[in-house]
Amino acid sequence: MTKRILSFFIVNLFCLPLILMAQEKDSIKSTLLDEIHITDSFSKDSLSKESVSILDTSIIKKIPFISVGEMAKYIAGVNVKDYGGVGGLKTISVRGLGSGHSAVVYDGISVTDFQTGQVDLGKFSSSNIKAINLFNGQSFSMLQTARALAFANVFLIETQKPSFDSLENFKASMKTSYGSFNYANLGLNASYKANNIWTLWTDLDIQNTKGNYPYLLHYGYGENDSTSKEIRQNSDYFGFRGELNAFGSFNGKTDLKLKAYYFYSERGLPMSTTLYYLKSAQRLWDENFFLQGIFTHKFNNKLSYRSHLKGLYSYSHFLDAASLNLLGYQSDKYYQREYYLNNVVAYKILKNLSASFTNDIFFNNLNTSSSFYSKANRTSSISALSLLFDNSKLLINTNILHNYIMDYAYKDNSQKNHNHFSPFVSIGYTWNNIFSLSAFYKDVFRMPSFNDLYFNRVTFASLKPEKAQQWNLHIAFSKDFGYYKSSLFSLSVDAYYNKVKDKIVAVPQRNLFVWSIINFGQVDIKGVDIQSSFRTYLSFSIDLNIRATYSYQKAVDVSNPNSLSYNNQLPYTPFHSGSLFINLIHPFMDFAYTINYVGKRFALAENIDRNMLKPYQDHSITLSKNFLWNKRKINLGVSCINLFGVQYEVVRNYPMPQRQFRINLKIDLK
Amino acid sequence: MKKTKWILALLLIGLSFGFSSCKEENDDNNTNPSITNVLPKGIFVLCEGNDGMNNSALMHYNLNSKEVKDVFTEINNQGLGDLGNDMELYQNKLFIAVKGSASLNIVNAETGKLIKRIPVVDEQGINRKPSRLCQSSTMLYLCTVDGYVIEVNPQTNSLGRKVKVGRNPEDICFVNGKLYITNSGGLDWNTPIGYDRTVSVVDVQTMTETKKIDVGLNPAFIKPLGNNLVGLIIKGDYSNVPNAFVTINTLTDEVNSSNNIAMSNFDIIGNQILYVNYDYIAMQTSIKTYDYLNNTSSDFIKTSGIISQIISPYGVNINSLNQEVYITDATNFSSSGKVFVFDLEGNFKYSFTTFNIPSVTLRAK
Repeated sequence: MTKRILSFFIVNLFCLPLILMAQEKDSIKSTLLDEIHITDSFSKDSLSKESVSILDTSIIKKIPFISVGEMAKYIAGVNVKDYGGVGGLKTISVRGLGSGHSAVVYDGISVTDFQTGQVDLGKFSSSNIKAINLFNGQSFSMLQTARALAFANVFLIETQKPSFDSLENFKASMKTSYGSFNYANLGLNASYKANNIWTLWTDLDIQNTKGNYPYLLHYGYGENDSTSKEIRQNSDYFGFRGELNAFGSFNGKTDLKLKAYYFYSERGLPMSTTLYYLKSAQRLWDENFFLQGIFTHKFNNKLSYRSHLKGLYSYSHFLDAASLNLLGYQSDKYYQREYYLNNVVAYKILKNLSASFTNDIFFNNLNTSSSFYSKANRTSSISALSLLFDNSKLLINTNILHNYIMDYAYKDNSQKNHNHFSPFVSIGYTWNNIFSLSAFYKDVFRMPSFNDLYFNRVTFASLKPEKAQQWNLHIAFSKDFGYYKSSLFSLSVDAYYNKVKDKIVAVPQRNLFVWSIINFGQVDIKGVDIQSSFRTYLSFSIDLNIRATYSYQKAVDVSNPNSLSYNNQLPYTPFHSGSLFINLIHPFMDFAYTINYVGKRFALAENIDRNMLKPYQDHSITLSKNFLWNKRKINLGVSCINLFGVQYEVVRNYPMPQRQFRINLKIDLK
Repeated sequence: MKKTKWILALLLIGLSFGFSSCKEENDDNNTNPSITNVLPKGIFVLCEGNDGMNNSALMHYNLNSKEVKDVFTEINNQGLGDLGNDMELYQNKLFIAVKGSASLNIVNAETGKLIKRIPVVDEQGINRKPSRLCQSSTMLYLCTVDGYVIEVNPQTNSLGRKVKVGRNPEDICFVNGKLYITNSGGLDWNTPIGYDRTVSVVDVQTMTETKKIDVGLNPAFIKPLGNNLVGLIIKGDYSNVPNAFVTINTLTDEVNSSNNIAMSNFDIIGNQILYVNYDYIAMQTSIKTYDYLNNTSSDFIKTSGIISQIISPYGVNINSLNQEVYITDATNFSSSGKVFVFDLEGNFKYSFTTFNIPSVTLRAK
């Protein structure tokens, strides 16, 4: 209670002096890379008819996020399952759909893990991230991959691209931060404009932490139950990411983006905090390497072509050094490969009408060191035919998507095919450039992951894909209240209904050791996402930027009327969640304050008190300052994360760190 | 215009604090009188709980008021821990092996007070995973997943001698001065070595393993049947090798397996066994008595409409003193469970709801 009053007080305290001020000043613009956006109606204006939520540089640069997994907590409708600490798995579930329903796209091409079907966003360190965009349904872009159209929602991660003014052709910067629990991060970025065609840049990032944070262990959920102060053990993390990028723009008609990406990490898996026994000897090593290229050519004003290519190799090694099996340890190694090719053509039929056809063909393979499991291959082909009508007032986007999947398991030489047609349709209208209304319907399916299918005691080859249907209504309002300086307010409200059929669930078969993976569940999800932002210029050279999100979700299990969890909220799905971001920018100093709120949730399917996880608020504050030193631009920032030192859990028995401090330094070397 | 700006700004801030007001909801539940009294007459149920959830519980069903309480947590202000695997009543003490929490809890059965929590770890401090218990007239014996049998002295409340047995012991029983331990080898299931197929015999006088008897793939629950016989379940490999019930003659150590009855748990009822099973593929619950000498079986429950209420029969315990049969229902293994109580003839008496995965049910005097 006191904390709430205090937090309210603090926010108001900082707001109070602002009420006395008026407006001034404009921000500086820099030239970005001249990429081709032909039929892309990818306008990220605040009046989008796409159901989109964006976290852009104006927010990302202000808060010392460690990874994309943390950023995702500030997007409406996204529920991040965070196992705590830097190395703790962070996966997203959007609008009550499982993480397998989200496509995670990194600079234009999907990131995949066919073993688990979900992507750990904790692996993407934040240092080079420019923006993240969440499209519910899909983006209306006409030159995108079919895979980005095949999921219930698309989580786009965009990295920073260099920009040069006319006099320079080389830039470099260094970022470093140091924080509680021996957290250290070093990032290096260098970019070079070779000539009028080619630009090259590289980004390196190292993260390291011991993760030995203190936490309060509860021995029961009652008020009188004992507690003890503990230190998180075996929670260390080391991660390295290196990227090499090249961008070539040929006479404004053709461009080529190339990326080589390497990631390596080693971490301790601290396990759930088991009462009276807190040891863990489990470790995980991860390695990812991929090459990707995006080639775009504009034939004329009507016809354009793009191709996406990717080759991926990934390796993971799990070790439990204290297993009670015969060897005395358990060591599992997994190797995944992906070869991916996409071709997309877009054609402008009429002034406001364009069509596109996109096709993805890709091959995935999973191999393991254990002879017991089957190796598995999956060949997929996704094609989509899209139509877009947009006269800037009325927008209609529709597509029909076809999925063809062929699985091959080596163990029993079995081959299986899946075919699925998915329609998507969206209609939107804008009034007077201040108000827009749009709606979409989308039907998607998700294939069972390799783990679901082949990596169990018993294989479940008869498993069907999980199907989801989405209905969404989107209202956006945006208005500039300023006279000669902008003072932009925008609000968007989404109401949705999702229905999941043939949900893939694990149930115990004959005892607790043997679980069957079956198509069993049905889920009904209703929800509302609200996001709002307000940017204005105040007197004394202060800019104000406020962004708030709120989500309501009711995701209930309607599988079996006789079950105790019938009509109960799905595990780890909060009814209420939201975030607030306040940023005051002054030439002298920059102030940012964030709140992330998650309401009560349940750790298991039955919505009873003993399964409940308490609501929490995580407040963070950052002060930063730009200055020049030897003609070099330097940014120095200090932050306090979890300001009130709240002890909370996102996942039961995985305590999150309490109060942390971090100091950040960015230097432009050249 | 300037005012609108501030109204909007404050509105946004107000919005985000609006949802923080939903915070306090469940602040009651602390009406916890520090009970040092003697517990009312009742039934103890050990709920296993879910892996990694710390929700194992010792529950107490009050026979008069019909109230079910998480008695261990209420009295001791701390949870039992993670995965309570077995419970034995010896004189006035409950011995509870908690697998995930690496501990053996000794609880006063009259008051519910924790007498002692003994860590069950090896020389390096690694959890041995205490799994099942049995008792002789003077001692208790604990088997651990790391392959040991450890003596537990109920007078001194301490661990005594230990002996190495087979891979991943699943259960233990005591007959005629000997311990029979089923070695499942369950943790090697995905390696070329695979499951174990032996029962270790340990002489309690010397605490040495005298022999290993080959009984069939993946042996599990084992109990003395009387007439110098022990009975045990063979779980097979869940695909090709089927489930079976096997008996061992403790005088000759001769193994007799003449059936392929699928069962997940059993207890002794007179000259027969009472077993439970749920076949997920056929979606069928079986609760039957089985005459292992004549190889015949029949349905146990006489009251109609009861078997369809039992979703996943899990534990079965027979109390011959009070002539009661307790069958636990693990429902879907992640929701509240139930205990169904019958008389020895299979007539339904009453049932009550517990926490997740009730397994062992017993009645203190």
